[in-house]
Amino acid sequence: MRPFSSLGLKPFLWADEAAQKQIQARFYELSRKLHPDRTSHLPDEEREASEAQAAALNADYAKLRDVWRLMESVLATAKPDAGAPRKSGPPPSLAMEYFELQERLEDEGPSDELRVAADELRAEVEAEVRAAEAETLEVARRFPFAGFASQGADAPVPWTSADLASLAERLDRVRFGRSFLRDFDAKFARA
Amino acid sequence: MPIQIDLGSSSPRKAPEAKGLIVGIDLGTTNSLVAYARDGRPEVLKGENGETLLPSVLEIDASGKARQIGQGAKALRGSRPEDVLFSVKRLMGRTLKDISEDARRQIPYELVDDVASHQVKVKVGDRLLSPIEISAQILRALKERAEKALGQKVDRAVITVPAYFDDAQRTATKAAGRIAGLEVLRVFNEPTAAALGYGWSFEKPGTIAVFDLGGGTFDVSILRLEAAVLEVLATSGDTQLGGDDFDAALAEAAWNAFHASGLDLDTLDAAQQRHLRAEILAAAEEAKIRLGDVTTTEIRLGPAWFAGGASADKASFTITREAAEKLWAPLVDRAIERCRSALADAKLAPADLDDVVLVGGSTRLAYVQRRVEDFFGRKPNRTLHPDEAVALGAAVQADVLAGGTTDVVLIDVVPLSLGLETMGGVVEKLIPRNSTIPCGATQTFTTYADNQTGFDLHVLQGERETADACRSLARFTLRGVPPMVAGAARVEISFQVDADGILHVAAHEQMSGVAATIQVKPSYGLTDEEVERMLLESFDHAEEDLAERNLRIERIEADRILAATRAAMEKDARLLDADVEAATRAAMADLERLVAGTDHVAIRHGIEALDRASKPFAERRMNLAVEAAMKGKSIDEVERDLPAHPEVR
Repeated sequence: MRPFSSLGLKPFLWADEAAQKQIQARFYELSRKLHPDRTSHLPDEEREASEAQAAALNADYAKLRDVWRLMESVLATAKPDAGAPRKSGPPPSLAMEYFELQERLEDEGPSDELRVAADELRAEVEAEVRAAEAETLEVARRFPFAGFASQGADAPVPWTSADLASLAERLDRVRFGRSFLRDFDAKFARA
Repeated sequence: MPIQIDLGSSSPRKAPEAKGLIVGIDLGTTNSLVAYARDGRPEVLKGENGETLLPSVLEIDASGKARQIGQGAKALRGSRPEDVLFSVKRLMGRTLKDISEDARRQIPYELVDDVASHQVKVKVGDRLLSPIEISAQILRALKERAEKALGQKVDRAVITVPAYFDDAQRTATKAAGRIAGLEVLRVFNEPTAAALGYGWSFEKPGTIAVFDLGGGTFDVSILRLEAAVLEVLATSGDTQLGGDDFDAALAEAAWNAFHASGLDLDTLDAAQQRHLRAEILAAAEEAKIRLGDVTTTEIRLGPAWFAGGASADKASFTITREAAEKLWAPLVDRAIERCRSALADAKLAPADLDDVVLVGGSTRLAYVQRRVEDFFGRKPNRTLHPDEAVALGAAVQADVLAGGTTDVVLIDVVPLSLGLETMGGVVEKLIPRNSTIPCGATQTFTTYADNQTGFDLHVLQGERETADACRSLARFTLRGVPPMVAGAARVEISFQVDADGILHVAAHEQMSGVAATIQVKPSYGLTDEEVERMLLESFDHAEEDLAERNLRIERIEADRILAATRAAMEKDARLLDADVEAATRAAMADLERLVAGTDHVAIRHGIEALDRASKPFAERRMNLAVEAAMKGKSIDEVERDLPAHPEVR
């Protein structure tokens, strides 16, 4: 299963610093075999094949070293429709406040008072995003780096589909919150 | 079988039979060098007088060839603005609008936009020279220097480029190498090359920043070094920022001061103004260097510039080091901003770095060193030779590619995001900046209207959200998609970035076996034909005159077209109307007669006349090929059947 198989890893969602070191060492080891600098003497076909492998290796390594990209990738592989983020909007608990602020910005134009209110709301949303992130990482931590897979075998995944569903739900809140913050910042930049 | 759209160099990647030596070349804005690694130990190859640097300055003669390259040409810079060319690297892969107003004002030679090849050209006399062919002349001089120094043939090279060079600039550099008779095995990022000289055989792993401020370009790269591996974590830069701009800032201040003190610019014509600018600019560069030792210096003009002579104080502009640093501050601000961005992309803080390494001639300025120290919070490391480090690293990389003794692998990144324009002029990024190369990405497109049979695709590079703010790399049209309801067709576009950081694009339709034909119009630079033409033009014909050279080229072209037309007429006689056939045969007979003569302009006209006469025939053949494609022939067959004339690009 990508992105684990190209580096010969057992599937995981969480890698601490020591694990990251091991993954990096494996990446360097494979790069020393596959990098185009090392294969320039090979016949065209073999060279192209190893360049394609190198590209896949690079793409997978980029995912493995960023927990958010790794979770996105695992979910997209397991449930292809889970990857699409929902449309951005304020978290329901803060929706009323958000719409009021937006209306006032349109009617009254920017003001100091409005800016203070917007900053407060933003801080609340941000706190929600942080909480959602913490909950998501909690799921990831349950599946720590488990070392290298035996040659040729596709290692089984340690998670159940219920685990993935719970991960997807939490990750969705994170995406949702982050994209709301982006929109919010764009909208209230003037305020 | 996908359709290959090669945006990269068309030079074959396989090494040719001839096995000369492989050298490393630093093709710089102000100076160029060539180096070679003997038993893994790189050394810079010297010129006849023992000099290591070859100033990237050319004195051009009326035929567009360099009369001299290097120190001799540089000495003429202040006095011969029209035909002494310098800092041409800043023009590589650019159009006129890419070059800032400030930079353009400081270029005394004449620039013209060449619409056909979508690049800026230099006008010398009545010749238009592309930056690629000018750079090729510098490369050829380096090749000769290397052959003399090594006593052997040199036919392959690793050429360094600023890490922040985009696809167009990299492709242009590769083409220049090819025109110079060098197979370019790798286009190699300058800060990565410098890091190679810094010491890849690290006992203890570490993370460093390379701050590379050269004559015309700035790069910053964050790298991780381990035993035998060197990984670039992030890179950023500015390809229009370098020592030239420091000179220009001084020159601009001097110009304004002379103006204020009574130098009447209105009495000077355009040519005189160019002379004056060139003289001040050359003096400004010297003043910049002097300010390293003294705290005050002056830029002096000949009294002839002042109507009725001038007193000494009018003809001299005095500047203190402090005032100069004020002029330079905005330039260094830009570089520091790039450092901030590269660190952010690498997810590091300045304190996480184990060292900050300076390279590039402009890091000799104490002011630059101070600002780097302020930002990174540590004294920068100046142990690398600012001018030679990059060339030495290139030689080591050449040794690696030659299968030499050096055991190190370089893991580099793509500097700028690559993407496609989508509806509404928005850029969809397929490959984000700082992705490790080689890398790839695919994107599936579908039709948005019923019975839509073509897609216009626009390939872009840059960080901005809208297409018009990014660099346009290529536009092409994908045709022959079978008529289906909207959304049913599936066209997969795939991007591949190779180890040179150059993009290759392929496309294919997935839903049916139906083939699609393709049209590619590179938005920039040279077509393969132009590179071939320059290759022919440049090779060992130095003693022939221009007309002779043109004649050879036109004859080759005419013979090729005559053969292609003849073959097409035989093969597809049924598509030929009587009157088209008569006109085509007449044009062919004319052209054959002209080829026997010696007038290259007449031959060119003959070729164009044949083009016009055979156009209806060529179009019919083209339509037929597209129809065949839609009936489900493989793309291979269609490509084979496409008319040889006119060519489909």
